[in-house]
Amino acid sequence: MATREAGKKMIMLKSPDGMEFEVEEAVAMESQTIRKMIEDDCADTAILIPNINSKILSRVIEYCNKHVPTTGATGAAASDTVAPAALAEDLKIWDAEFIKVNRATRFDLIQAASYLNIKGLLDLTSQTTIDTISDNSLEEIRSFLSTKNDYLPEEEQTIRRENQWAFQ
Amino acid sequence: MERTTADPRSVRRHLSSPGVALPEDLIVGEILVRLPAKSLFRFRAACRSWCNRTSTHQFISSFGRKLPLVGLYSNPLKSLHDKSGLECVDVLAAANNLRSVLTFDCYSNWLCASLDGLLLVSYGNGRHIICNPATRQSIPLPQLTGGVVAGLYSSPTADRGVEYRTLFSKGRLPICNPKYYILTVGSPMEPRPVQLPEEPDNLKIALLHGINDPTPSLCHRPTVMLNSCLHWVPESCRHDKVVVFDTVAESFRSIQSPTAAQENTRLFEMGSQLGFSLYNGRSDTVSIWSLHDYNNEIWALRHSINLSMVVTSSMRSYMILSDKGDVLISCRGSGQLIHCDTEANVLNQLTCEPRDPSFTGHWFKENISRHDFFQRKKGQRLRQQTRFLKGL
Repeated sequence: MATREAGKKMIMLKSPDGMEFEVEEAVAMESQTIRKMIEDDCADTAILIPNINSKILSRVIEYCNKHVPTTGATGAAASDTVAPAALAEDLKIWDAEFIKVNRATRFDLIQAASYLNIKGLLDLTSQTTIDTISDNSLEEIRSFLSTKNDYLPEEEQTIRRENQWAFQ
Repeated sequence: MERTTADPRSVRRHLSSPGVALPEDLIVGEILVRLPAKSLFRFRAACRSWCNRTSTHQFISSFGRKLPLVGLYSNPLKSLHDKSGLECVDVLAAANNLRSVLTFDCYSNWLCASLDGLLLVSYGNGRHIICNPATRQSIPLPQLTGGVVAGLYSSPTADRGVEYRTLFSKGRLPICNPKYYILTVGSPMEPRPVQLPEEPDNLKIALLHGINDPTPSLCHRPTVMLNSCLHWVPESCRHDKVVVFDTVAESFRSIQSPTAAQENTRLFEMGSQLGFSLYNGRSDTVSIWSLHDYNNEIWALRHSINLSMVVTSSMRSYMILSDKGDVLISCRGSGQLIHCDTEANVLNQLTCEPRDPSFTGHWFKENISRHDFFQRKKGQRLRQQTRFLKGL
């Protein structure tokens, strides 16, 4: 959890299971949804984040903390000493570690990133899912994404024949 | 090039945990929309609603991502097994940076134009083909044989559709004066000739030198479509003009270049403006201008990027990546691609070893809609798939 530092505006985020997270406003504003609430002055005391439990919300905050831009007035020192290339490389490695989670957590993160509108996190979580599934068979995909085959056998044959090359 | 493919076991492991599901809106809007076209066509057979929801006009237009196309030419002296071809470079992806788009089977194949997911490719022997790699469709363009393609553009039709047209030249000095033609893709009609301007002299001279014939091993300099006009820098003559072809009036004119230098220049789209870049090999500097006042031909110098700290071996080709002026550089011999910003900070480095990457200057976005001109007409014999699309 974030600690209060002088001069930094803090925001309280509440999960539906009653946990409270105090985060820097800049970190919270990585979420376009929260940014809009703050800009519209709807965020006086605490912001309740519906549908996202404390476990997932804490991971989302962890991601935002890491990805909040270090340039500008508050973080100028960091970018003076570390080359941007090294920072980018460091972030890539950090992202790869961050996304090593089970399927349920990853799906929860996709939903949270979508609701909170955090583009980087949504890109990371959905791209990782795509890298996992794009070479798999239909049966594996149906089961991975929990979808039922509702085609009649002859319908499925027709649709397979139309794009036969995609099955090779 | 090392490719990291996902382990299929990681999918199977999850089979024992049913009940965890992603809402279908997110499956369609975030997952299916980002898939490679080949996977999408396969996944349409998973269930009815995926098939229906991925066939809407809105899904089709938001499908895919525009990525720079790089030409990879394997060195036959180093390896016989590496394929040559065109690949998309995803500069943002952590893994799977390169995605095959076409395979080439000899050094003389090259890309002439890329538009709306369609690629116009030259076999190098005067013959051409247009194909859609996402749907694996292709047709030969026999009327283009012996011509040099200036560009491919779309033009609205009377029934609110679009047709694709290509401007090309035939004939070359000193043997004969080149003539310019427009061909509508898929039309059985002969190409229509375009009148060359009588005035001014320097524009006429530039046009008489013909269109740059890109050699595959060298950098391509694609024409840029902006304000319904095709723009290109004539190469074969000392000339500080950009040639403009108005696709509506079907006439030529020229605009002043920002610099008289000719070597290593590129035209590109920068926001909604025409961008112009020049690489100076002596100072290792890329200068970038934009035409901020199109009608009065006023260029503004936007960036001057000193790459001497970035380019260790000699630079092979470069491409301007974004409206901000980010540059992608390929270095000779190392198979390395370097992505840097206008301050010459390296943002990312990719390796394509042992192949030698060269930027086409073109972009590519997979397009899963099926164009009528690819459909087989009644009585036509079944066409063989082009070898460019085999084994992808």
